[in-house]
Amino acid sequence: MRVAMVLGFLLASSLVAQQPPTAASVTEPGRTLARPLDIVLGGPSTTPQERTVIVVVDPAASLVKAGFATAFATAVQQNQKQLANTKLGLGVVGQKGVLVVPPTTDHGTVLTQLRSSLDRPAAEFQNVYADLRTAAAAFPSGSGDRVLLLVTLENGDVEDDVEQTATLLRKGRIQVEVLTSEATLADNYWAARPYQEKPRGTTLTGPDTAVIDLPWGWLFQVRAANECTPAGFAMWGLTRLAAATGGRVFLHAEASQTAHQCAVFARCLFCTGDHMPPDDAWSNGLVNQLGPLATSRGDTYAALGSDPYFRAMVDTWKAAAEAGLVQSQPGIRVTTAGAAPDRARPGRDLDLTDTASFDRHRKRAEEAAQKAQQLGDELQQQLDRIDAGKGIPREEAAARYTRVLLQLTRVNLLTFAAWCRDIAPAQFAKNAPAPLAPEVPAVDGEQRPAGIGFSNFCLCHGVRPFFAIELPGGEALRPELEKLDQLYTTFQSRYGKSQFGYALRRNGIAQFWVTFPGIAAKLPRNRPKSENDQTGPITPRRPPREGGSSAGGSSGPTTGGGK
Amino acid sequence: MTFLRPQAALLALCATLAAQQDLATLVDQLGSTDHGQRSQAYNELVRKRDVAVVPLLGKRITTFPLAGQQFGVYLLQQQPIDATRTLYEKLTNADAAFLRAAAAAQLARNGDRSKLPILQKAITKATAEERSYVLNCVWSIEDPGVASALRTYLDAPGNAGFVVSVLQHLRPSEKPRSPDTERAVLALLANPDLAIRAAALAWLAGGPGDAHAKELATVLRATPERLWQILFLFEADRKLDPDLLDAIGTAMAKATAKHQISQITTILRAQNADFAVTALRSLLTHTNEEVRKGALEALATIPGGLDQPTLVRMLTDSAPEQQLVAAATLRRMDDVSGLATVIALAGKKGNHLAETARVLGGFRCDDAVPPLLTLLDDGDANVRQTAWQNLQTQWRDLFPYRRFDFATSGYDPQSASRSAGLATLRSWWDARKTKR
Repeated sequence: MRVAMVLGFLLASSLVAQQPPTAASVTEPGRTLARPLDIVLGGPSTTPQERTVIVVVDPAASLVKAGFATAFATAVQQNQKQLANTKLGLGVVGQKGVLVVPPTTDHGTVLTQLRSSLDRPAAEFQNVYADLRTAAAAFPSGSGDRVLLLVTLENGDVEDDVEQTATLLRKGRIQVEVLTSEATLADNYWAARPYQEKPRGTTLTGPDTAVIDLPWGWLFQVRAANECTPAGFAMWGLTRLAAATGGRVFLHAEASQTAHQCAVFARCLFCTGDHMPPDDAWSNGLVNQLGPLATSRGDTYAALGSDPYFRAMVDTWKAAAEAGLVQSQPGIRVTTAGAAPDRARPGRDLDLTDTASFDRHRKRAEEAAQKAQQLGDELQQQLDRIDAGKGIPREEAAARYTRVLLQLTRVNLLTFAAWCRDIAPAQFAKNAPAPLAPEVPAVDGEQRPAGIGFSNFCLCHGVRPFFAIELPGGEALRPELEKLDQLYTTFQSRYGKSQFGYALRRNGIAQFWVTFPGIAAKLPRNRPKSENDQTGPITPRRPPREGGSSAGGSSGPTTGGGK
Repeated sequence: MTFLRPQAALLALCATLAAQQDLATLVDQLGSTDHGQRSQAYNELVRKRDVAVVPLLGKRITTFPLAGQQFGVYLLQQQPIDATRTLYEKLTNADAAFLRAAAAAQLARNGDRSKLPILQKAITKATAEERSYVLNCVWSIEDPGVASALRTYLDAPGNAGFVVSVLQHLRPSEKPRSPDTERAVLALLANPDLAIRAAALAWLAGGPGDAHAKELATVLRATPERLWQILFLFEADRKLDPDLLDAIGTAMAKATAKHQISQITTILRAQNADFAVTALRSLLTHTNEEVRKGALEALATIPGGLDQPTLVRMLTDSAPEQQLVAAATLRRMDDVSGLATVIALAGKKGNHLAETARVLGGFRCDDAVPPLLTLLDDGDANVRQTAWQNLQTQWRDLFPYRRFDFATSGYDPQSASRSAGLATLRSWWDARKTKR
């Protein structure tokens, strides 16, 4: 019996050891400024210890607005005793040489300099990783703990050789503590905007993962859920630095961000902003279970390449992109040996909206809907074959999300086909009977259609309420909606209180309308590059991000961190 | 026909002149010493919202009594800044400190921060009578100099309401709290007026064991009605002593209006949501119906404040108003089990029908439509109006691919002859229903 117990323990230990570390292992609860500063400045012991703490601050406007200087001064005051033997230094991201106050026991100088640095908030993209490498050299030699507190609410997405930075800091025995904002789930914002100017030598990324592991750009979704779903964790680069150096990640968010909002880019048919969804509360345990890997990018590829859920999901994603169901291809390819980065390509364009050829669009949409069903069924079969508990929980959630999205896309395609068949042509039919009052014709005058527009009705209230809504396709659409309802309900019963449940609710059922020719305006002439050179600052400014997200400061949605 | 044109132009000119005369008379009446006449003129001018009021006020505002000047300032704030900027510039040199302050503040709010020193000086120079008027015109100005000038008002507080108002104005520009304000508030603790002391204690009240919080708890237990005046001085992010929270919870029972419950819930939620839920639940059996309803609505805003079984129970064993809140809350939680109750209530006489129409309008399903159509013909115009508004929203959501122009139905909730309009709406609904 005892032998069996020992063997069982060893087996369990080995299984635990096989699970690569996730961001949950380094991310601290809470969203305030006070707690992280208290923990980091207070140190591990109540008695004063010899330490060097360099605070590297990225002076963005959101940090100033959050009252960082005051919170920092309060934390220093409250931990005076513990800081007695601690040298404090200050670095400012974007400053030449980074360090503005070398480590000193004169903490007042640090406070004064911090206030003055935050008087001039920066709006440009900043390469915090390069500055961390510079700051690492500023630690004095000698004994005592070395801690680098990086405070950056906005620039974790400006990646610059994360692994080299982590190695350098680890070699210098520097523990990196990070205070930052929450990333969005598998954020594709910069992937969808490759033309954005960025500082030299950097890559704009931003998701909570080393690779985007959730399909984005689904057909007939106005905006990807990946761009507005709080991840519960920081951007991968920052998480990685903390994980590689034995540090921690603290997230900051404004308290007002936690209010429920049915939709960001969609209209809600079922409430006027007073929705109290049963799934609105976050399950911290579930959010942590679905946390992204905190390993290096290479190790992440290796882990994902051997994960059955990820492999099934990526294969489906690729096929869906080739069928025009998703506008993005995965930036990773799986092989028999594992996984490797792949050049990000756009998915096939079905060209369903640029013209008013309703009949042609209908045929294409029906074919694509058929493909969505086929891919959905195939993915379901693959998922059913995977043994329970085998695989990374996050990737299982991503694969099951993909399954639901395929059915949602099928519903949208069928709605679109029915609209092209029944509604759109009738709007322009000659001698069409006038509708009964108070209904009026959907289209005014003699204008001819030029194309098709669409928007979304959010799924925050679920699929079932749509049974009462008059949608194109009528009764024929009902079985497809019921199937979507079944998939949606099953998914939400498991993942509703997680970042993946939130992401699913951020998708929608599409509504279509005809568009008309606009008044053409003469486009500005594209000047030759020599004349187009910027005369202002070389570092590009960060454009405001639509829809709210952590990548644009601390004003995005948040999982709340157990508050 | 052409001979009529000069006459028509003359008539139009006469109408314009008459309107201007009318406007000038109303502006003159703002200078009246009769409060009733002044208020009536102000309300009429607000309704007209005519930009022609600007030059008229420019000529007269400095001669008005203080209350009339304030009305004048409010009327100017209704107008676009481009139409009023010159007058504001002129008023920054007015004799009355209130007018200087109001003009400088409005210019500063519109980006001209060079007027802030004028504002500061005007605040300081304002007479005792002008000070409360000045407070009403410095909203959303966050400037250390202005805050410093306002702080001087705490040295000679008129009454508790004034103190509360000053401290509220200081709050946005004082994060963290200014030591100068703290000194001024501490000095107020020596004021003989208990209401002023209570306001000072509310501003100072802190976390567990805090002496000011304990003292305020004693004050509130003795005079719970003071809570409503000092409520806004509690900061959401400042933890309060549990004894004070308990006193606030007890004082809540003395509420007389719904809005008081929602105000205090905001404070209590930020302090301790569980405590807020317990305090609010105890009000569900309050003798005052308004308070009961307020408590129920406040509980509905707190996650977990009202659980589904409690709400479902309330659908059958409570008064119509509470049944409606329960049904609406359940609907917000994606549970439509309250619809049958609401439909049943729509068929019963009583003063709950307007609320019934509003709650019905929140449901997006076929069953909710016929009772709403019935309420369109209710004897109470308020019920009809609510039903009409909600029906329009409901139909637009139920039929997103259809376009409506509800005016074409001919239905008017304020009209005595509604049958034709109602018949049109019913016909449309019946026709759609057979198609669906």
